Amino acid sequence: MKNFFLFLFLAFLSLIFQFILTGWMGKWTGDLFFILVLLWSYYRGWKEGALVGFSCGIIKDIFFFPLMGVNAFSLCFVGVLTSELKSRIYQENVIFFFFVVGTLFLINGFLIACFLFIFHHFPFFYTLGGYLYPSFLFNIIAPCCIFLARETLKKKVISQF
Amino acid sequence: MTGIKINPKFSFTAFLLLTSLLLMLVSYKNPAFFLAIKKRGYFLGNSLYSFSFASKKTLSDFIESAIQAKKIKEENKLLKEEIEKFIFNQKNYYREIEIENQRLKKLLDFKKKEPYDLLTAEVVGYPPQNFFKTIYINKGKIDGVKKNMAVVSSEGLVGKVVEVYPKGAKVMLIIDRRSKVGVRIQRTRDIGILEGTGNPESCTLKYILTKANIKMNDYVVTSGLGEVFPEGIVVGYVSSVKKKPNYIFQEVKVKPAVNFGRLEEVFLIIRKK
Repeated sequence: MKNFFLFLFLAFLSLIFQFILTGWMGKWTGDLFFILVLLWSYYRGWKEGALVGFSCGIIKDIFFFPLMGVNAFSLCFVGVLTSELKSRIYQENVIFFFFVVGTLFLINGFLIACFLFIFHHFPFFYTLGGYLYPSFLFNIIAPCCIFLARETLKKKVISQF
Repeated sequence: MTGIKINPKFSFTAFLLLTSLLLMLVSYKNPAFFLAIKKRGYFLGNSLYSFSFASKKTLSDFIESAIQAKKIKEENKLLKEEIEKFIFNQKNYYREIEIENQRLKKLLDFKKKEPYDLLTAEVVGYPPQNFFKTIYINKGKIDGVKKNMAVVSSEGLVGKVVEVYPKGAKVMLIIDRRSKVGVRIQRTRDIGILEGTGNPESCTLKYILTKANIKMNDYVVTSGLGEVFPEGIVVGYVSSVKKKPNYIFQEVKVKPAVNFGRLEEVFLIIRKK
C-alpha cells in the first residue's frame, strides 16, 4: 500500500512537471514518465515495472497522445525489459546503467514510431527522430544522475554501519 | 495428464500488452470514445500549461519592465494586437481583393468581399512530442470556439481547431503531417491541396498539373473550397517547382508564411460580418 501511494505521488509529480517543463524547455524536455518507469522497474522488479509502465503509459496517452494505448504498450514493455536486463546482466555501475537507459529509450521510441506509422501513417524515421532528438540528452543524463546519487547515498549509509 | 505450464511473467506481461493493443484499436476506430476522459484531463493540463507559460513570460517581462514603463507596455500590447489584425486584413483581404477586382472587372461581375471577424487567442502550450505539430490556445467553448474553425496570425494561415475544451482548444498546424488544406496559386488561380510534412519550413502542394505555369515565389492562398478555411488567406509562397516530363502533376514545395517557432498570439475566424 505504501508503494502504491508512493507511485501515485511520483506519477502526479511527473505529470505536473511534464507540463511545466514543456512550457519552459519546449522540445528539449525529457520524458519524465519514461524515467519514472525505468527507475521503478530497475529497483523493484518486473511485476511492478510492468504495472507502473502500463499506468504511466495510460496517463501519458490521456494527456499527450491522440491515440490511447501507444505509451501504455511501450512503457509496459520497457518496464519488463528493464528488470530483465538487470537480472540477466547484473552490474551496478553507471556505465552499464547508461547503456540500459540508452537501449530502452531507443526501444521506446521504436515502438511509438511503429504504432504511429501503423495507425496514423507517420513516417517511421521521422517520428523516431522526433522522439529521440533533442530530448535524448535529458532522458539519458537524468536517470544516470539519479542512479549515481542513489548509489552514493547507499554507500555512505553502508559505511556508517 | 500433464498440463501446459505458462510462465506467470509472460502471461502477466502479455495481458497488459494485449490490453494496450485493444485500447489502441478502440481509440483508432472510435476516437470520440476517449475524448470525454481527455476533456476532463484538459482542465489540469490547461492550468499547468498556463502557469508554465505565465511563469516563463513573467521572467522575461521582469527584464523588459526594467527598461520600459508598465503603462507603455500595456498600451503597446493593445496597439500590437490592433496592428496585427490590420496587417492580417491587409495581407489577406486587400491583396486578394485587388487581384480579384482586376479579374472580375474584366468579367463585369463585381463581387464585394468583406473583412473577417477575428477572435484573439494566446498560445498557451505545445505538445511535448515534436512530431505532432499542434498548439494549445486559451480560448474555448465558452468563448464561442468551434471545431474546424480556421486559425490565423498576422502573417497568414496557422491551422484549424481540432479539439475544443471549455476554456481552451487544440489547434492542428498546417505543417502537421495530418493536415490538408485546399489552396490556390494566387497569380494563376490553379487549385491544389497543401499537405504538411512536419517540417516548419516546407509543405507539399499536390495535384498541380504539369502544364500549370507556376513560378517561384508565387503566393499560395486558401481556395475556400473545403468550407473549413475562408477564401484568400495567405498560406505561403512557392519555394520550389519540379516538372517531370510525362507526369500529370508537378512537384511543388511551399514555404509557409507563418513563422511557427514564434507564435504567441493567433486569431480565430469566427464569421464574416
